[in-house]
Formats: sequence, structure tokens, C-alpha cells
Amino acid sequence: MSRLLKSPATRVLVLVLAMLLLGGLLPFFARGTASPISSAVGVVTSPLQTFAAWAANGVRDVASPFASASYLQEIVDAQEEEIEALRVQLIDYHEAIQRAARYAELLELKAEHTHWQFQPASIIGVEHSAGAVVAFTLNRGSLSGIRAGMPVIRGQNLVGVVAEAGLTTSTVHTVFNPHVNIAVYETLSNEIGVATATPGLAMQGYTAITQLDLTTPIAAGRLIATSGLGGIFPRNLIVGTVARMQPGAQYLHLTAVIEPALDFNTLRDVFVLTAQ
Amino acid sequence: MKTTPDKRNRILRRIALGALMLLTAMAQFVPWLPVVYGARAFPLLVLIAAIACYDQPASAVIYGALAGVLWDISAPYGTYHAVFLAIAAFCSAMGVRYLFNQNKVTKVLVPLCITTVYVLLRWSLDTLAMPGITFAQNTTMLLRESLPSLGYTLLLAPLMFTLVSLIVRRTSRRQQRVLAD
Repeated sequence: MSRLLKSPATRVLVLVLAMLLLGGLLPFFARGTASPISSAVGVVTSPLQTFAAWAANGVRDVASPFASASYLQEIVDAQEEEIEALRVQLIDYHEAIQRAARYAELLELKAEHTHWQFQPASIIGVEHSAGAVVAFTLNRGSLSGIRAGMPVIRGQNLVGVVAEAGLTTSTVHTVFNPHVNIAVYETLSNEIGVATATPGLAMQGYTAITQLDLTTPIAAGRLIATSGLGGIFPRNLIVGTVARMQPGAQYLHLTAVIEPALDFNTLRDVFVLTAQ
Repeated sequence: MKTTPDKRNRILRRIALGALMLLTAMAQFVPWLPVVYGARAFPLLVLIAAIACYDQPASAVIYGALAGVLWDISAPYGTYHAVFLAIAAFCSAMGVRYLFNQNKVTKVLVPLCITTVYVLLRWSLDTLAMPGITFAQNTTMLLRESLPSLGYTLLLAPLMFTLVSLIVRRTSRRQQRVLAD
């Protein structure tokens, strides 16, 4: 026993334990700094650790198949939850952007037509006929001031006209509906006409001005807008651009095929002109 | 000033064992050794056991303390590992030198004892540090993490013992060759 106590190893152990105890107590008085021993060792080892971490990153993927399945599953579950929450936020964000865009359009229209009054509405139902969008159902009705015969627009573009107005919903006939006749004019030549959709052209996404003279100045690429004649649609609402000119029946007239500016399949929100 | 061959060997041995200790610490902390179904390896424990079996007790204590200090840099328990490894190295080295001879049995028992004591102490500290832990969770931690870690660590013992004995023999052999010349 005395040999054990007197051996050099015992003296070294006592010395080492004393140093460790002192080194461990110092941080309590140094308030948050690392012990001198840790700091000294850290100076030597941190470059090695940096190199080792760089090397380990290169081979980490090799070892990943041996990782605990339950540990990986927990990570996957947590990430899926986070993705779900982010998706919900993304939807809110997109809706906010769309809302802001609608308000910006409304503001522009109001600035241009100070006497116009609008009722914003969302499309809650779509009716197709022969592949064309011929009617919408809106989520606003007579309680919101909507009446039959009111024009429906999106920005400066004509969408259609209110055909029926219930208390809380209304039906809109679009420019592709054969029952809708729009008094239009070509903005460059002021040539007037009536735009009506035929089933064949509506299916392709066009409306048309028929019965044009063979000498008409209307040509492909020209802009067609409402003329204001007839009192239903105010003047200068954009109907579309002339996609092509084609001969009418028996080649006695020409037909201007009009491509609307809006994509009716993706339309979600519109404005009803309640007062002009 | 000329160094004697004996001194040169000792310096070489210290450097080689120090480098091995640093490499082992890197393998443990980076970590190069993968976590296998919750089981972690603690190669520093078996390295210190090997050094305690082959080297002088005084230097084994110093190596144990240094290895523990390296471990404590990334561990949450102050100087726990340094103290533990210093005492474990002392007890193992003194036991091998004065109580029983170094043979195959001691080479199994020494790392087994050090690793078992460490794993159980660590498990106790970890569970004590978690308030509200139930007995079932306690037992699950022991069976799923602590005991598999013990087995995983002991798998590295042959490698560590081989490396340390190689270093010690090479430096001893050089001394014998020089003396023969």
C-alpha cells in the first residue's frame, strides 16, 4: 500500500486531478469563458477538427445507410410538418398577391373612370359548351347591387354581361356565349360592327365580327373595343385583337376572327359595373 | 545536446501515442464512426485502456487526462471525462503492473471494465439530467443506446490494442537494436 502511495504514478495522478479541478473551477469565476485547459487544447486541436470535419463531410453519405431508421424517420416527420406549414403560408401569400393585384386594377380603373362604380365578385361556377366557357356563376347578386344587363369586366377587358341576378349569386354570359352581341369598333379605322360568338369559333377560343364589307379596313392584329353603341357596354372596353380575316358564307362578306385578351379558363375574379 | 537512444525512443513513443490519441479523438467527435441504430462508439476509452496496459502508469495517467480534456471540449459535463479517464488509466495501469500480469485476459477485462463503468455512469447522469423521465424510458435508453454503445466500443478494442502494442514494440525494438550495436 505504501509502495502504491509513494509511486510516481500516484503523484502524477494527484497533480493531474488538482490541475483539472482548478481548471474546472476557474470558469465559474471567469463568468462564461472556457477553462484555460480547454482553451489551450482548443488552439491546438481546432485546425485539426476543421480539417477532419471537411474530410468527414466528403464521406458522410457512405455511412448514411447505417443510421438509425427511427432517428431518420423523426427527421422526415418533422420536415414534412414544416413543409405542410410552409405550403399553407404559400397559399396565403399567393392569395395576398392576387388580392393586391385586384386592388391595383380597381384603383387604376377608378382613376380612369371616376364615375364608374364596381362590385368585385369571384367566379364560383363555370359552364362550358362545346369546349368554350359560355357562362360563369358569381358569388354576388342583387343584394350587392348587381342587376341583369350589367357589364362584367376584368381590368380594361370585357368578360361578358350579367344575364340573371339572384339574391346572392348571378349568372354571367361571356363573350363566347352566342346570346351575347357586343357593339364594337376597330380602334384604328373606327370601323364598327357587332361581335358575336359562333359555336365553331367559340370552341377554338374566338369570337367574331361577321358581315363585314369586302373592302373593310379591319385587318389581322388590330384592336377591337366596345363602341358604346346600344347603351349596354361602355365605350373602350377591350374585346380582343383580330387573329385573322376569313371569308364569310358565299364569299360576299368577311369575318374578323377575334381572340380575347383574357384566358377565360384561369379567370377567378371579376368586377361588375354597377354604375357607369 | 545529444539525446540517448533510450530518451529518443521515449520521445518517439510519446509523439506516436499523442498522434494516435488525436486521430482517435477526431474519429469520435467529427464523427467518422457512424451511429448504428442509436449506438455510438467511444474509441478513446479503449485507447486509454490499451495505453494503460502497455505503457508506464504515470504516462498512462497523463494520456488519460489529455484524452479526457479533448473529450470535455465537446461534452456538457465540465471536466468529467478528464477526471474519469485519468483515474481509470491509473487504476488499470497499476492493476496490470502490480496486481496481475499482462495477458490476453487482462487485455479483455481492462477495456471491458473501463467502458462498462463509463457507459453506466453516463447513462445515470443523462437520465438524472432529464426531469420527469419514467422507468420505462430509462430502461429503453439503457437497452437501446447505452448497452449497444458498449458493444460497439468494445469492437474497436482489438484495433486499438494492436496499434498501441505496435508503437510500443517498435520503439522498444529500436532501443534493443541500438544497444546490441
